[in-house]
Amino acid sequence: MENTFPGLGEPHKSQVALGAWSKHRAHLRRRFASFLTSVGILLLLYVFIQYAQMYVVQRALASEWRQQNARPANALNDAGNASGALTRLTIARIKLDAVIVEGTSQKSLKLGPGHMQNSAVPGSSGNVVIVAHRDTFFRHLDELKLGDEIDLRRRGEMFRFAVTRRHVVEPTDLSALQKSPAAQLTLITCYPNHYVGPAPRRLVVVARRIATLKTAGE
Amino acid sequence: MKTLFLTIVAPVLLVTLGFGQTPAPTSTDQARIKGCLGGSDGNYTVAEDGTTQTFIVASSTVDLKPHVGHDIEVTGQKAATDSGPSDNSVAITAVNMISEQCAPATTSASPAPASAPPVADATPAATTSAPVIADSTPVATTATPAADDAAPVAAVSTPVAADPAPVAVVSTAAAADPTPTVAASAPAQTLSEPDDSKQLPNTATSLPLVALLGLGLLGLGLWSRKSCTR
Repeated sequence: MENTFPGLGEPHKSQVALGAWSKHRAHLRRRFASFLTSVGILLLLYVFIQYAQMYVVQRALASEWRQQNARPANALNDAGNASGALTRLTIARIKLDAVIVEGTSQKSLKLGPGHMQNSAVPGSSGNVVIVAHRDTFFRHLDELKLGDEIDLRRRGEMFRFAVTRRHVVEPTDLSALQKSPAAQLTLITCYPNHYVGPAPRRLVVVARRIATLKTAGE
Repeated sequence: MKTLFLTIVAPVLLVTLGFGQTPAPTSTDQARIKGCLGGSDGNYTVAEDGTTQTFIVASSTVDLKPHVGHDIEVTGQKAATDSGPSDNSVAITAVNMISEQCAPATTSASPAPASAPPVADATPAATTSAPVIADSTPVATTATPAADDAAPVAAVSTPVAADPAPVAVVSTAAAADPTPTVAASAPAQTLSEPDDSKQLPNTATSLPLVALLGLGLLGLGLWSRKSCTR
């Protein structure tokens, strides 16, 4: 049968344009969704890699620390002078066992608790200041109580500290870094612990040395 | 295929590139340090002004002895690591004296030779003007019995003489220097005052925030894709 109404069965030009536009929109949305997914995966990968890197470096440092401490005491004294002896920080209460890195730069703190370079050497008298991130090594630092023991092991010796004070300070309060004639250990991390983003304050845990134990080749 | 590339291959490539840009752990570069020179007999350190950093310096060309206790500016090759137990050593090629007295913010370091480590740090209290912390809480003085520890114990409660600082390094750049390459044993606390820095170290990482953001974006992306396919 002949079509007496030309154009009736065909879409109008505006309808064609609308269809093309919705197709294009759907395509754009798909691309945007893919972009969001990619960025999300990328960010998660970045975080994963950071933690993995920290884990790998800590394992390597722990292995090196074991080698240093496996040497006889005499050799340790000589070798300790020749190269930077590694220090291991152990806090049984919060199940922390990590090898300390030197310096408190962002890069150092990504790898482990950092020893402040201008503070006392671990094991010597004076104020040893160790800093770490609250979302990695010092995650549970706020759970420490007065009297809890903290061990620093270095060059075949173990220095045992007991927590004597914990307090929260402003980042500009440098009293925690002051020198001390007695053997003292100061642990610093951000506070509040579960703050998302850069936490505005600092948690300071102060411990005094209560014993020095010689350990033979652990 | 394009989507697969976008979601998996591109992020991996970007991460790989990111790793590629991570600096090598050890690098040697030109350094110019201004600070207070301390030490003696081949074991010299410079406590940098305005920072808490201390550098172990050595030189085969410049005599540093006359500059001990002076505020100086040194130029040389710096070898530094940023991972693990770090070392900062500088092989000096030039020294420029700024002042005969060190800036008040830093105190001069007095590292002893490696063979004779200094006796504990009774000195810091004398060298600092900062008040000593006095804990109101009494210290628990009961040492844990040695039997508690798995490791055999040879001596208990022995005050330790000062250890060599972990910044002890081998100064590789000063190959011609006849002095022992080990620059060692300066208790770090004698090197500079904590007042150098304006703030306590920043211990906040952005990792949790980044992880949350990543999770959020991933969720949003997946939801968006799902709604597209409907």
